[in-house]
Amino acid sequence: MKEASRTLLAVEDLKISFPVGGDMLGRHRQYVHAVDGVSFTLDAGETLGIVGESGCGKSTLGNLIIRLLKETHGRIVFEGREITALTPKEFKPYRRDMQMVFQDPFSSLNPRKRARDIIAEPYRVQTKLSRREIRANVEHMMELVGLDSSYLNRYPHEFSGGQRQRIGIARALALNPKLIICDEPVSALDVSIQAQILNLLKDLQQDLGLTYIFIAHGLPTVQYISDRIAVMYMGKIVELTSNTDLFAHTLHPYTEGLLSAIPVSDPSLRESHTGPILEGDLPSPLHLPAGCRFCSRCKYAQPICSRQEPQMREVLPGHFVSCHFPLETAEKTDASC
Amino acid sequence: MKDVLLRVDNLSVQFKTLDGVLTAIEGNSFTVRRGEVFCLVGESGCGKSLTSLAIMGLIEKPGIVKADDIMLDGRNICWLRESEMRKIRGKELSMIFQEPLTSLNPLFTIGNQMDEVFRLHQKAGKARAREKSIEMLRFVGIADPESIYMRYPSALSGGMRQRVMIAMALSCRPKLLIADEPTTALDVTIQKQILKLMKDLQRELDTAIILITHDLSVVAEMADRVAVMYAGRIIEQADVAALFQKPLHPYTEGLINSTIKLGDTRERLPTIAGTVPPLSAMPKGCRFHPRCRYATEICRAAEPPIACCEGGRTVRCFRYVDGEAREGGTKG
Amino acid sequence: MKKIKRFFKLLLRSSTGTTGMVIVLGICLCAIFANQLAPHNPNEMDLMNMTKPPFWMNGGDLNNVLGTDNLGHDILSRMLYGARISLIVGILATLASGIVGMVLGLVSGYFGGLPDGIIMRVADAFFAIPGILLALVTLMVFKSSGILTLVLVIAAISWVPYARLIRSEVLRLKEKEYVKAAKTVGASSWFIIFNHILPNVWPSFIVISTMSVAGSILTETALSFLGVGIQAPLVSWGGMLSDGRVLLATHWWVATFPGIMITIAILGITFLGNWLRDVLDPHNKGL
Repeated sequence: MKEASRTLLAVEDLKISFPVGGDMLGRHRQYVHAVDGVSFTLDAGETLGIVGESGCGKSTLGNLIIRLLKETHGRIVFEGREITALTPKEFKPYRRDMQMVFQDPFSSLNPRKRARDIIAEPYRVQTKLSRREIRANVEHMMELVGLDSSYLNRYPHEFSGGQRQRIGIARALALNPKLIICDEPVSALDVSIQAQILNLLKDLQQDLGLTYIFIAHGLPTVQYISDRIAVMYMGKIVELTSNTDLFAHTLHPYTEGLLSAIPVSDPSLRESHTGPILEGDLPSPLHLPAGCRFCSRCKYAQPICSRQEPQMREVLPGHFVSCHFPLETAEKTDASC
Repeated sequence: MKDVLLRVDNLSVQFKTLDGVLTAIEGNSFTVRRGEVFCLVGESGCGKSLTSLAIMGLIEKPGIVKADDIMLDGRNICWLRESEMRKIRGKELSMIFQEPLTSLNPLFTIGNQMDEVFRLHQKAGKARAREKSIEMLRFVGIADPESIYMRYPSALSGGMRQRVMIAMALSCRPKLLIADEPTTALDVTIQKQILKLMKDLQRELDTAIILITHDLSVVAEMADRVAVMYAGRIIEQADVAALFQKPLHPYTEGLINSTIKLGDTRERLPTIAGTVPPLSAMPKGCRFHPRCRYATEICRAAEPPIACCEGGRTVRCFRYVDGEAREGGTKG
Repeated sequence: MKKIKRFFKLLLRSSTGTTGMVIVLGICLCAIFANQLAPHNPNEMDLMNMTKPPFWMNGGDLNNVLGTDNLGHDILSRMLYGARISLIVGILATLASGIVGMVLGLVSGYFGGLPDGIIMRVADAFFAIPGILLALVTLMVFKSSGILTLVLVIAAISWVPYARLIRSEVLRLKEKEYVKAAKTVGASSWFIIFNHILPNVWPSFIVISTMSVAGSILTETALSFLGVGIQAPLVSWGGMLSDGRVLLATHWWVATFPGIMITIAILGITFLGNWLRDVLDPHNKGL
């Protein structure tokens, strides 16, 4: 039962650029704008899915929100407090409220530490609990994620991929966070294990009232677990709307291409599933086109697309898109750039 | 009815380790017909990659390959010497891998590596090899083959590299192409392009493809026939339509059910309980029984034989031993 | 218990590893039990029996199994006591340079930026100067060449490879997701270094240390041979080489046996080090 929605997180025009190349004097230096002006809000208790392909900046965005990276521009407001204005020291207590679940079950756990030490670490860093209290908490966490507490003394290599991911989730839950950023948490797992972990995440959200940002490159998975979805392309959000609307009223050509690229789930659908195939590759991030970044691959592009970057606007209620000619409210002609 | 191109009979691969001899795959038999797409699907560790490496003759010590027979186009290839195998690899039998970056040598240009295939197998001279390489690059849909020919692998995107790999693999018009998770490392839009390319090329060259994947949707998209592997055994084989419409083996059923489809509205995803046991601790009897909800006494005691069902399907499960489904008891 | 059994199983699989281990253990035993094993006092001069050949040659006998040098010292006894000195110097020098190299490598690798720049430039400077030369000059200037000075000098010229290797390990480990996880919880840099980086750097450290012992022993030998290392009445293999150099044409055994001993020792340590590296390489884990 959701409480009256309140905004937990607000991201405003967030940007980060990484310098590349250049000589000793700093000339000819270029920048990769990994995240280039991202804005959205997140309500308590909801799950926002962020989906996109490689190079779109979704993982970087996750790292920015959790303050593993420092933004070059923009604000992040968490529960009314502007956390981007805080020093690392001031921010430390806020870390209890937001945690991350990582992608790779093999490198997200220190191979030389036992499961109980891995889950105990957040307590050691953030609290002054006694050993006994920490131990009790750790056992409770193991239970929450469905692992037998007899496994506590084992090392990561003694666990399967799915079990390791559970330990990672237990670690993320240790400090009772409000927000959990899941960065491709099931991509490295087998299909049958993915289902287990997704069910676990759903249950935990319900039982503990968590808010999720779910980052992944697979649309079916993101769609399954999210309430709203943001589609990212080359550092920007190109479409942001509710789960159902993304499919029922697809507005951005990239989203359309993404949807049609998903392989069928059943061979009988092969004939009927013919959509436009997205040709070409991503343009180099160092040589961004002047206008819309998607222009070079877009079937519906018009002259203005290569000249002017579209702004994000609300085209349908609750449905945002950055495109000069969204698929549903504009006349479109098939033209190439 | 197409004729048989590859026949594998009773293939097994074992490894000598510190913990003794471990059997990675055992008792696997299947056939691939000329010009068809045969999918080998299973989760990590099930032995699908090993199967393909065994067919290619690429398994070295401490691995031991045993088979009753491996026949390619009527010719026995499992007892060939390495020198003879090398004549076949790249020419009649080709392979592409998951990570195109590590399959291509970063120190040589694309052109250099592609020419190698022609010079080796067709004894082509420098100029002729270059000509054929560029033609091949164009064939796989690369827009500017002359300039790609001159570049190094690191300058290309993942999708491009995979196209180059496919071009190299198909250079000598092999009868059989083994593709080991060729699109797993690629974005979904690029995956779509590559899969379409493979399908088009396969039709045009009449090359059979063994497509190894863990992704059931790739199977649904591409396969003509499918073999499902679990813990080193092929546990079910069928035509792709039949497999999805009516999966026989409980594992296949579980896999198909736990796969998320677009627009999935199920509140909870069905799962397969438990995890794959490690090679050194395989259960007695049917390898799947600890996770199977239909398991009975006999399942715990002995490994099920291969049962033949209607439509030429086979399945390794005691529920079908009489040729039709029997109700098993529910697992305790 | 299971771990120890596994360890020996692994060891016995490698012929070089086993050989190395046997040699190293042998030398350690010689060093520890030199008192019991040596037939004579190494400094005892037997002027009646100068430059006596080994027992299997004309004029030799079992009293001095490997012969004597020009002052009547028993070669075998001196070799056993020499093992002690070589091992002590080798191990202490390795410890000293190891600790310094480890700390500098950790700081340099983890923090990067200015500290990294400074430390690496200092390392380059040290590395550019030929080690032996530096050691020679230092020892001559400081006149006193007790074991401690020797150890410090050898450490001073050996820390650079340590620092560089540890630094590159740290650079690799820094990017691991479990380090990121620690950061998201608010762990401080030093917390991460001690809890996450250090435990994973041990394998490399052990391998480098093993090789470093060999290097230190060789350096000590060279310095003693040149006369600035171990001084009498302490016995060292290098010193024995020096004593026997002028006698090579006539009384070859005085220099040859210590020479063989040095070779075997270094070989053994190197074999063991190679095997350790293969075994501790994370890519081999789980075999």
